Amino acid sequence: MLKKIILFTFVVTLPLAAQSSGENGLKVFGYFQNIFQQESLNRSTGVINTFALQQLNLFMQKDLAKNWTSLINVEILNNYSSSRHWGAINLQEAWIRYRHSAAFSIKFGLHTPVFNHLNEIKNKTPLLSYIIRPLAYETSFKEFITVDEFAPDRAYLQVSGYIPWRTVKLDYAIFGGNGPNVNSNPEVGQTGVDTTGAMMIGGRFGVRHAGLKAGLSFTWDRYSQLASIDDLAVPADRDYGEIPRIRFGIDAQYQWNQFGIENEYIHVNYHDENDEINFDRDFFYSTINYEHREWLNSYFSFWLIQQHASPVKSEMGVFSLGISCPIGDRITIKLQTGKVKTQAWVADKLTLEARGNYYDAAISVFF
Amino acid sequence: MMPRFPCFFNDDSEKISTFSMKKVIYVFLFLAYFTPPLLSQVAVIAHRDVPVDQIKKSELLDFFIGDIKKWKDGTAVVIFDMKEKKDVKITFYKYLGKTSSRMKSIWMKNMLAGEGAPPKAVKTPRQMLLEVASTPGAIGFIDAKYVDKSVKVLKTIPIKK
Repeated sequence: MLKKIILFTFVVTLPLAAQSSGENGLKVFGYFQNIFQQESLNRSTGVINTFALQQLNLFMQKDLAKNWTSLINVEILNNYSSSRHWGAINLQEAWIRYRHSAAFSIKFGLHTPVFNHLNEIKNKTPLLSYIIRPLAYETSFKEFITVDEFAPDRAYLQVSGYIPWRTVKLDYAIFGGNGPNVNSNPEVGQTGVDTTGAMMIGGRFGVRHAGLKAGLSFTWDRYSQLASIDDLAVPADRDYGEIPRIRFGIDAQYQWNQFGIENEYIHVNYHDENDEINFDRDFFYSTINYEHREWLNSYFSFWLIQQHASPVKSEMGVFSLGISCPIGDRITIKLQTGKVKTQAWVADKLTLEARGNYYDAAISVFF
Repeated sequence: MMPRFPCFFNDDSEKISTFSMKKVIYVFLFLAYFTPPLLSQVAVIAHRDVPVDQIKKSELLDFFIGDIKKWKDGTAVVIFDMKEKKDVKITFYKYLGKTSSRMKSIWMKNMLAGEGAPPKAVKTPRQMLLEVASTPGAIGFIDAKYVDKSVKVLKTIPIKK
């Protein structure tokens, strides 16, 4: 009985202590985005109408000492329900950072690294006007687009900052983490652990001046996910067990009064030294937005994903239009529509062409 | 009887005088419509102990977007925002090359990156004065007519309508 009372007291008082710890205490905040979607992307399924909790993120942040901060970010996707086998829960960030100055800060622990413009904020829905994000960043599409292949989703160590030079700021970020060679099969051994000695390294170098922000990004790692085709490899002695992979990105943004334009390009190169089989990918998006009023922002966006694989080649292009209407500081209503075109070729012969539309409405809440 | 307006061009010709007066009025109205009048000024105010007496636009922007978090003497920079979106607030953020919604977005981004909470937004100029005067390292903005000796003025920005 005593144990139960102590446990009850602990459980009840812990959140109260956290709440009452004041300015320098634990800060708990987060956001979620609920959507209604109508899509006609697949002829076999016809028109689909659905409500969904697209994303919910919970943050805990605490300043631990002078210049030391820690943050935890838990992400819940696609109507998560373990009993129904829906969606996913990800521990997205858990890091501690030492900030010496604007020129130097170092982050230890799981985080989303700086790569191009959108990678770091792709999951921060209150910052984005999009409901469906540019394809390479749409984490809720993980089931049918290999999102992780375009931009690094996780790193464990990052040094970053900026150096002012006249009126320009020179940004830099260098990060390290695991390659995609991470064991997810419990029968093989410890899961979530890199199975190779090759790790991922990457970075971004950029400039900021007035309304302009631009940069170059890269990552290097070794990729073993193609090991499954090892037996089918042509020529037969070709080893696809672990091949070097380089991601290269360019980003440019310009903001002029109410107008804004942002562009990104990513090229993923699998250095397999085989001309006959190719897995390289490209992604491009460009968005023009205009802030009509503080409560009305509109945008037009074009996205293109290409897989230059041979003998199978595929491409998906999307034209998208949308508006976002903030209501106060914490609620945003969003509307978006898009036209999608998918094509696939085998040995340069068009074998698939599909077109479809989607219409989305969402409410994004920050708390 | 209406007083006759003196003619500057021809004392003898009432016709010409009236015509010229019309011209003056039209020119005046034209200028009044198209020239933005200077109504007042926004004062960038800071706590009296901050180690500077004036501030550059680029430094001010760095403080407000969170790129610089400390004054030269190591005191933490504490920024204050105005709640209501009036001329003073619009002018201040326009001067920095931002809109107030873009500033909000930057502060939210900083918060979600673990850089700290958005600035406290005050309701009245009186509150802004009290907060800035009583918070070491504080910086804010206010209609210049409300400024008193409790704070230091680092810059003034004309309000254009």
